[in-house]
Amino acid sequence: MLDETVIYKARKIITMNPDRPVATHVAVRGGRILGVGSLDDLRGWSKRDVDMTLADKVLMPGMVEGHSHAFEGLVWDHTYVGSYERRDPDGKAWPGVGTIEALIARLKEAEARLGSPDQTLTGWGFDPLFVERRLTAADLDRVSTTRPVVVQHASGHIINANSLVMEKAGITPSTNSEFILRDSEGRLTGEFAGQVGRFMLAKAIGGTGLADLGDRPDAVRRFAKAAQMTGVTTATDLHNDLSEKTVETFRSVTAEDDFPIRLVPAFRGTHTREDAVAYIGSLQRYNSSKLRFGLVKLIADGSIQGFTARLRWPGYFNGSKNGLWYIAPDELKGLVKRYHEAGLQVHIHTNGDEATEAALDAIEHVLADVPRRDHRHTLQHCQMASAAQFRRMAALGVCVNLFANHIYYWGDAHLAHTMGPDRADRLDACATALATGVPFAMHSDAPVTPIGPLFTAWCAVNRKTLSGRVLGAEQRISVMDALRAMTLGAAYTLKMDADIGSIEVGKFADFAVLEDDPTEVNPEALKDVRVWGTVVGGRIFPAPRT
Amino acid sequence: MVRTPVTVIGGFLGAGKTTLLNHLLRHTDQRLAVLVNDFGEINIDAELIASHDGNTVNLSNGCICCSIGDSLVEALIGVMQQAERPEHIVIEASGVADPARIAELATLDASLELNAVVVLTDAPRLPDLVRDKYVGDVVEQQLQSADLIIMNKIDRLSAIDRRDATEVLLRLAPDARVIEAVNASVPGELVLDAGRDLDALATAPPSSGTGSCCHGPDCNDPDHHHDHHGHDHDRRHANLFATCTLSADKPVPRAALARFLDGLPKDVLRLKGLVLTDENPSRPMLLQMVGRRWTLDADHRLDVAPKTRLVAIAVAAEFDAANLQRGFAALQ
Repeated sequence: MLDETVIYKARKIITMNPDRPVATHVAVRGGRILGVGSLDDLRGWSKRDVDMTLADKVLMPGMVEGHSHAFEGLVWDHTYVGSYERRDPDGKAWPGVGTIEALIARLKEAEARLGSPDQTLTGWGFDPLFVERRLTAADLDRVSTTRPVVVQHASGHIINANSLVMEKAGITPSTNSEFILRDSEGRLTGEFAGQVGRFMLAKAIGGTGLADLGDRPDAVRRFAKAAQMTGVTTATDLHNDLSEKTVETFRSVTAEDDFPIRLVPAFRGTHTREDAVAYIGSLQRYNSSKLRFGLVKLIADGSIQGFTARLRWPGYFNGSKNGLWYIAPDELKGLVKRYHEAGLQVHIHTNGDEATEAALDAIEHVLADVPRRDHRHTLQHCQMASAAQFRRMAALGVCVNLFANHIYYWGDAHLAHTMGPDRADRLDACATALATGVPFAMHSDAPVTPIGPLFTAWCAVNRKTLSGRVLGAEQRISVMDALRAMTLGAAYTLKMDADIGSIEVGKFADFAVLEDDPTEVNPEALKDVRVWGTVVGGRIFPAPRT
Repeated sequence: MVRTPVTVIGGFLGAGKTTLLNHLLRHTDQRLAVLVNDFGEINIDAELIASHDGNTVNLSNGCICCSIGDSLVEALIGVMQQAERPEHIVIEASGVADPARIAELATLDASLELNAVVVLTDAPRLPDLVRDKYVGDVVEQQLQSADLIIMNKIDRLSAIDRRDATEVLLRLAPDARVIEAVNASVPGELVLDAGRDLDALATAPPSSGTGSCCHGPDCNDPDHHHDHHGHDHDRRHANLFATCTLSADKPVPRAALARFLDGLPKDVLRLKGLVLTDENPSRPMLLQMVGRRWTLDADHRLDVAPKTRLVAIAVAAEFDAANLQRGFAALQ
């Protein structure tokens, strides 16, 4: 069927091809785009009836999520207790939880659905800033005293536990650690930070409670659905050990006809296996139209809001001491060199501007030794980069994928605590990327924030924070520039722009199918543009209706 | 409950952590569990390897060596759940980690006890490293977290550079105890808890007076077990370090003891032994001090006579043993 020629009519086709920016018809054969234009333009390919399925829709190139994690498919094993509405991969909307009572009620409902009586109940995405007081063990004891109850904070750094978990872990009032939070009278609250929390969970429930993706093809499908229903047709899983089990799962799942995205995993570049380069080479033999190995991910520092990102002078606005190197700068040089020499593309997580500097130093150093054109090494997040750093990126041929969603979710915190006014204005500096000619994409880092390219584009266009303030008005970009970053821009950072990212002859027939025209709506309503579904390789995938 | 001591070995990349771990694994008579970041760098002699199972290597001397992989927490719990619990757990911190953070884990579990945070430093690179724009603060924090600093590779230092490196340490970690070393070779009993030694210590006849001292390999006092672990006695160690015993006839007031320990001269690197305090004059407490960190344990299960007897190990160069003994005797 896919070998037949089908001409689709649409209300409008936004192509991202400057030669033919808009069109009304697209012809598809064998999963690829045969032609774009008017019906007359395409009649030479086929005389058959025009397919009217999408006749009243607006088509865009399928969106490309350049920084997400398939882990998104696993978090929905557990109960969402975050502060804002979030849709699960079945399209069900989970309202934000704004009070402790609402949180307890949500967990109680979930508790009633759990099977075995000693199974752990886990809530995730909790943000203590948006409820009236700190969550305590006594609150969670109201959910259950007979099974472990754990709530993971959105920061990824803190957990809350009920009394049973503390008891099982052997935590007592006399356990002495600055990572065990206490109330003003010195009593345990049931909040635990960092590795202390992980240690406690490992002792009490035998691990983090999260499954291994390699064992969970259903979770990979769920991740794909979560992406698909927001208009995404290609998504990365941007940090994965790629164990043989996971590789096998990815291969089998992506081979399914109804798997709705192209999956691009990135290998964890600090993996201790000595044959890393050869291993990636061996994986690339499995590449298909729906699965593409070859990216390498390195993580240089932590997160800004967790005060673990590495900042240059003058450091954190609230005086916190500088963050953590996850890879020392010298080591980073060695790792970049290893993969660069092998012809691979390296994506480097750098949140703070000092980490960005070290990554640029590493790339510059390696390029002086081993010049290579079109390497497209990409800085991921790169949230605090200065204009001078963007100019270095341009000079070195480095791409950037900016974390535009951060402006909304953490912009207020960056202004007040981490970066302060002034530097917060250049948070995720899309306009500087444009001005300096650095090829750029934007991302959600799902499940850190919800996957949703139109929302991400909205963030870059409006730069509104949760509190409603505009952060760094000069860094706002146009709707078209934002949409380009979410399609062709991201495709370029993955070296896939020959195949995806625009509606153009020869590329995969990957479309985002929209009910509204994102270039016509008020830019402030960009995030509200309705997604009808997607087309991937000529196959139509309607989004689940709620 | 018998607590398993935990020692964290920290230090920046290239400081010699792996060399030290290799050294400890080869020269121990305890069943160590050593958690390392990278197996590949641990150079275990093939004949020492009894079996290799995924993330764990079992050595013929009873030690195990485990790869930390992605989760230190899980690796540590795995070691704690071993059928035969190790006598001492040694954790290698990553080169960019603050070892004090890792040491936190040992305070969380009633069956663990922090023995010490030992930080190695590459002495020839130290002055440059602390000025490095990217990692200067990391190196500084590591040194400040140390109970005991091993100033490694001193054979590669000129006199001038040695002074520079020493000045850096004095400035950044004025309270730390420092040992100089070549190839990270330091006596195991300085770093780890030499538990078995204690029994011998407690049953040994007390020497005359308030204690006795020796300053090297020529010492013939039978109390001084220079070669007590049966491994090679390194003459250079013996010349670098002096030992000295401290004893007291009457129970020592606990508060005064704490002040004494906190105020010890920096050349005292290690104290171990039993001490009778005024809190329980019939049963001695177990005192362990590594570098500047000390613990008093009343819950030990050792079957010992009610008396005070401690062994101190100090840097030999300017160590005034008699003064130390006088100070201790004055506590009674």
